[in-house]
Amino acid sequence: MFGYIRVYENELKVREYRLYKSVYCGLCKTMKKQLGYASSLNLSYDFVFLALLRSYVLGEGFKIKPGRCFLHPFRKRPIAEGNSSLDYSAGASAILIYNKLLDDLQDNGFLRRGIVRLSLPFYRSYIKRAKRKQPGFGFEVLSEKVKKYLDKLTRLEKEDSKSAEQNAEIFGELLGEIFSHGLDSSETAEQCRLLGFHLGRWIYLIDLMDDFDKDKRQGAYNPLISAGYTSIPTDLLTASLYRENELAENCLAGLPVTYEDIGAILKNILELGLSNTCAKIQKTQKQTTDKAERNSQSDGTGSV
Amino acid sequence: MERDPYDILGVSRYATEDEIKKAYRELVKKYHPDNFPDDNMKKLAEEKMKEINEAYEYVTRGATNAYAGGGSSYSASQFIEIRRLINEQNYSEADIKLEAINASDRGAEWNFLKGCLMAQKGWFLDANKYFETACRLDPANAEYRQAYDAMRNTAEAYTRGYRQGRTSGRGFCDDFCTAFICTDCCLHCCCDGSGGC
Repeated sequence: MFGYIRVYENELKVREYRLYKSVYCGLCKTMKKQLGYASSLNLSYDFVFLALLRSYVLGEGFKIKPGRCFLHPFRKRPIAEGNSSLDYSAGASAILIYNKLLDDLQDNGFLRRGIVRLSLPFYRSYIKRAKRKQPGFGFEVLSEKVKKYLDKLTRLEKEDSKSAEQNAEIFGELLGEIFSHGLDSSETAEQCRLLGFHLGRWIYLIDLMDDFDKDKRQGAYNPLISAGYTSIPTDLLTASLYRENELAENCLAGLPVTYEDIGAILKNILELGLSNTCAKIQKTQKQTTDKAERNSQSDGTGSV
Repeated sequence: MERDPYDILGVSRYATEDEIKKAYRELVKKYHPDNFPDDNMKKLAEEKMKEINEAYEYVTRGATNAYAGGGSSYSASQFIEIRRLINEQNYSEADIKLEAINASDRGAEWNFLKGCLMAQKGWFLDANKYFETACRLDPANAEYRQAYDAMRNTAEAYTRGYRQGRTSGRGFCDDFCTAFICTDCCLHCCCDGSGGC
């Protein structure tokens, strides 16, 4: 479910790419500082997007300074200094992951449940710390909302819901809440909520596509399988994905321009990054199916 | 209905389904309440639209006469009402009305209307499912088939745009191998040109 929202590096300017990398490092640093050292294990590009969007909307730039970190102790790298967007993004990621794990606890194998149970106290402490350090963000309220939507989603999954779109709708609403939470201006907040909504729907659907083969093998829940598809309905799914992608782009275009570089990165992610992710996933899937076909063929003929 | 539905639509009794549909579309375009800013006119247009919708319902039903689950207890007037709501773009209300219909009464038309709502929302997966069911239950109905095809076409147009990849053609040197071949070609060109190497 995480890590689908990335830039398409080839089309970024060098200074934009440097900014993107430095915000990534900045988010990692912020997570360590605000939540706890191990929390940076959950660092994902999705929340870099959130941090960039926040700062774009708030008109809050990034100050970049060279610095070292645990993984790169020798060479200094550009790192964005903490600001409120990074703080918010770090807190939101902890809240989303914690609640997701709580839901995972209900429907997974014994081993996985055990691992989740062991890691939960860490997350609980991250959230506690986030709430204490940033009382202004209203993380309690956000946590409640996230929980509400995830519960709804879990209920649908338990009922073996056959509509991928219905489930995606709920995940969209959830991401919309995260994107718009705590923004003052109602118009901007609404735009951000919509952007989050479409992006959330996109993420849910691409996740289904990505996990289809795995879910099929393991007999796990996947609404596409429940709806009776034996292979991925690529055409229909791609159509839905493209539509959400376009709508998200429109939302971004509706936001007032503040920092051009940040805007360019966001635009790159939505215009090129998402479709690139989609194309990559489809390519791997095609390769696996081709390979399987080849294998079955060679088994049949005995040649090759 | 007091007037003859064929008269209302302005078609002959022997008109084909396509002709009926064309006439219906033109009337809808002409009398759509949104075309009339004046309140009185709007009310009149609404009445007219209702009449047209009922007539259309009646005529198409006669033409195909293949309601799935014929003889069940629901009345066609419910669907007329829902069609009106969809025409007025009141989708949420239409959906509530559709969901209120008993599961046992959900025939071809129910699936068709549900499919229309889903297609309008851009839920292609669900729209596909409902249209498919509608066409299966009533294979002779041209309206359902047409809506199904239209939805597939839209979906395909979207897919084509995405699959060709907005990034293809931009990142020619995407992986190392291509980059290597590129450089190789360039070198050859240069060297051959200069006559060296």
